[in-house]
Amino acid sequence: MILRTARAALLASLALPACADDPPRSYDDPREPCADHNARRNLYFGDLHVHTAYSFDAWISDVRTDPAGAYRFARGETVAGRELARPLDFAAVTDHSEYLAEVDGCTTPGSAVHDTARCVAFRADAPGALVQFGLGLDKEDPARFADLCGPGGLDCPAGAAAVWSRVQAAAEQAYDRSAACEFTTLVAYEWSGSRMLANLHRNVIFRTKDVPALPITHFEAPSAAELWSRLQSECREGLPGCDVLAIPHNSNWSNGNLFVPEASSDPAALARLRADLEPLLEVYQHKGDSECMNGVGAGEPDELCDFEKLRSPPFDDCGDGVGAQGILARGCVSKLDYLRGVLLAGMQEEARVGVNPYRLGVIASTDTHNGTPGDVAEPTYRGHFGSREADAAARLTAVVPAGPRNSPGGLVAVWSEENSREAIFDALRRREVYGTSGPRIAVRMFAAWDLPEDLCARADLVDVADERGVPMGGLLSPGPAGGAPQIVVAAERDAGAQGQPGTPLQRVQIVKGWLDAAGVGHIAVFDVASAGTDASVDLDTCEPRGAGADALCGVWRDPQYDPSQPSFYYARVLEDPTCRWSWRDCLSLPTAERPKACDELPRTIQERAWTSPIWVEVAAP
Amino acid sequence: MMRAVPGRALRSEPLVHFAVLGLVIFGVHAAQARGHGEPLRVDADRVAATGAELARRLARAPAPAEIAAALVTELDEERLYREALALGLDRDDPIVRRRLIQKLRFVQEDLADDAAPPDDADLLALRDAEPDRYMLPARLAVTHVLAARDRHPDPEAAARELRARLLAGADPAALGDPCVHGQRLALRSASALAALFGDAFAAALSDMSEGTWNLAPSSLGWHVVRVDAREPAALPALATLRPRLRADWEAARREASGHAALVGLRARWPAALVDVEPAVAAALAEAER
Repeated sequence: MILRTARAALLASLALPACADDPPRSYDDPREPCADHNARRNLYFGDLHVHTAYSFDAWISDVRTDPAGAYRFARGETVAGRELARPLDFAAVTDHSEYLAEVDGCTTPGSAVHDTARCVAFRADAPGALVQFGLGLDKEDPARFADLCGPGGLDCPAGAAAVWSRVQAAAEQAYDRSAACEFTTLVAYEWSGSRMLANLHRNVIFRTKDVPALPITHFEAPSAAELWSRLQSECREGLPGCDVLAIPHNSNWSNGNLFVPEASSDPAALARLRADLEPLLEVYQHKGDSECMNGVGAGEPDELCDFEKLRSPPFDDCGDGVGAQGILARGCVSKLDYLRGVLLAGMQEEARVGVNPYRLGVIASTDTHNGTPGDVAEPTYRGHFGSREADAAARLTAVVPAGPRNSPGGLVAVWSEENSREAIFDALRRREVYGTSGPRIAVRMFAAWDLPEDLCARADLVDVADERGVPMGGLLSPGPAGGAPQIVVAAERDAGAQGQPGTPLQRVQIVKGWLDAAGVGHIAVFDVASAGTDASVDLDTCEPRGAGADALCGVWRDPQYDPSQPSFYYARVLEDPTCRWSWRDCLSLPTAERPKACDELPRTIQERAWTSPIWVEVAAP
Repeated sequence: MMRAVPGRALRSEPLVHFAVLGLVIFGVHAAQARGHGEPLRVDADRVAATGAELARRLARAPAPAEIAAALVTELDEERLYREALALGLDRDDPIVRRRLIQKLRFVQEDLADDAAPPDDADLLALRDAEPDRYMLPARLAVTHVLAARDRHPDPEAAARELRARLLAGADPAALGDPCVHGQRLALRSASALAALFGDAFAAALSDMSEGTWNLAPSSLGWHVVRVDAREPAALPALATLRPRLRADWEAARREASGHAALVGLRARWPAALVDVEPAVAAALAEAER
């Protein structure tokens, strides 16, 4: 009898959670419904920036893994001799949309252009090909190579369509449409325009299998505004079931050009389109960090901004202008090259045109050019440009786009109801996502006006915070008179994997940005939870010393809140220090043979997570 | 890296110059001895095609003399090509050789791609031949209450105390320390659970009976865990697996047809072993099978 009661209670409790009153789910991209569906959202890790042999700058480094191989790697299979310690939950292969047909033609014996001088040089002379093909992406009025695509050569649009259909097929085959929902793929590509060698690149990510017949390239759409307008007309308005996002990256290479408002007769409409299509910034990847830079922009010096920087002082500040040659790590550095400056500029634009075009959530990814999504562990980093970075000495002395300042890159984390294309995409769109520099740190952040002060001691933290507040990426409506917003941040360490122990947490910070009455931007950083800063690392062995926390949690109320000033808040979660990959490579070489990078570069890093911000809305006057 | 450019290397080799010259002299004599070859047909169609190509390049109608000049260029190229073949200059040329090998491989792959697409029986057979590859992992749904290492001097003892209260009927939602993943985890695999809380946690759940509260260690401390449901490992339905099976089937067919073609060629062009160590000969026979 007791047993039966217990069983009945158990069954009742099982029927209780969100699934009970959930309507039957329908999918735009048909599939079995996911058995694991959580209205409070599950955490999934992925990589949304992955190049394979279809990218011109990967093929010339002897990378031969194709998109299907990259997805197999993400799912945990051994590919080209490497294997992930932990498979990813989702991934998108983002090959450069430019040159899909040209690379295919130059590398397929018997094609119409295989034996042309340009293709012979492409296959034989990697540095020359990189410059030649790279410069083709830097023109205001770009044209495809006539000798490859012109009369008698390839029909490049038709060739690109054929390669693009292989990209889609690879995503289709690797997508787990069973109820287990083990792995999600998103059809994607990278639009790779630059201007005067200042980076403007975006990854274009589709929601379902319904995508346009051709990817948009810099050749038809040489500016970001043209890219958005085509995404709008060819996908969202032109193709039933199609939805899309564009995610800019490497603003740290853009000399202020990536976040300049595009020229338009209707700036508000363009800002609205931009905000709608570009809700995220890839703030970290193998070519460095774009969160903040000491010496440019608002705020006191922040030693934790000195993390994975491609540029080191001295450099010129672009001020309110723009520069050139960021891709070569040259030219001025702008406050708009870093997240903090961009978020402040977004609020300033809102004051100017009525729309915030830069309400940006935060992700990270790898940008691997080896077709190895999610291969982010520092101790096993083997470079990202194939044979150009085959051994320790090569990695420590390689030059742009490779080099010792590069890193394995990071991961994107999403809080999503389930692991399906629609749910992952929708989480990206609502910015309930964050980036990490590689570790699988679990972080939640909510903002509200009336959180219990003891929330961090309560098992129902997530339920309470989710019901009373908004999660990361959200907009908090104006609060009661005299109130100040509260933020709760809860973080758990990476649990690690076989052979890859996770690192304990050091502290949790909140970064606040706001505009004063004169419209000037400010930044302040607050520690909200800490395990102390004593832990370190033995530089001879890379063994950790001292202890951090398994979990950190803090409820924080803004001590200087002014409801008339627009503001945003994001969290930064730091691990204890560990050896940087480059120092591990240095240790593997005899002291006399160590390149100068061993003396110049930081030997340790503090891996971290950056959450998407929460914005607090200002009450209408 | 495929850096070698055989053409360039060969062209700068004096021995090659000598050999080619010798062949040409020999060939000239041989051709003179053979007299005339098959004539090159020039008909109205050919003149029209050459004229049209010329008109496209010049953007005007070409004069008869211009068409004739273009024809001579074409015909001379064809003559050079025929003569080179007659002299056997294509033989042992590394570029021609590589090109022909690639062409034959493509022809074989094309033949494989032209074969009939797989039907459902083919796909099911593929799935059932390698069930482990397609099997969905066993999954379990759990409710857990955390005693965090950071918050309790002896988290295992704290977890035991929590377990006693749960067994006495306490509501799990009111117990324990917060966890960003919440207290209820719907059906997921052991490896997904390990990703959240570490391998030890997943291992402790592997043979835990359903519906009872038990202790499990994790990367965060100790948990009191109840397994709410288990879903055994299963092969997905054909409809769900079809795209993946089809891709795997086509890859296997391409590989099999390439292999079958090579087996045929090995029979047609067998290796003749001369003074080869028996161990190597045996290994070679094995490798060629």
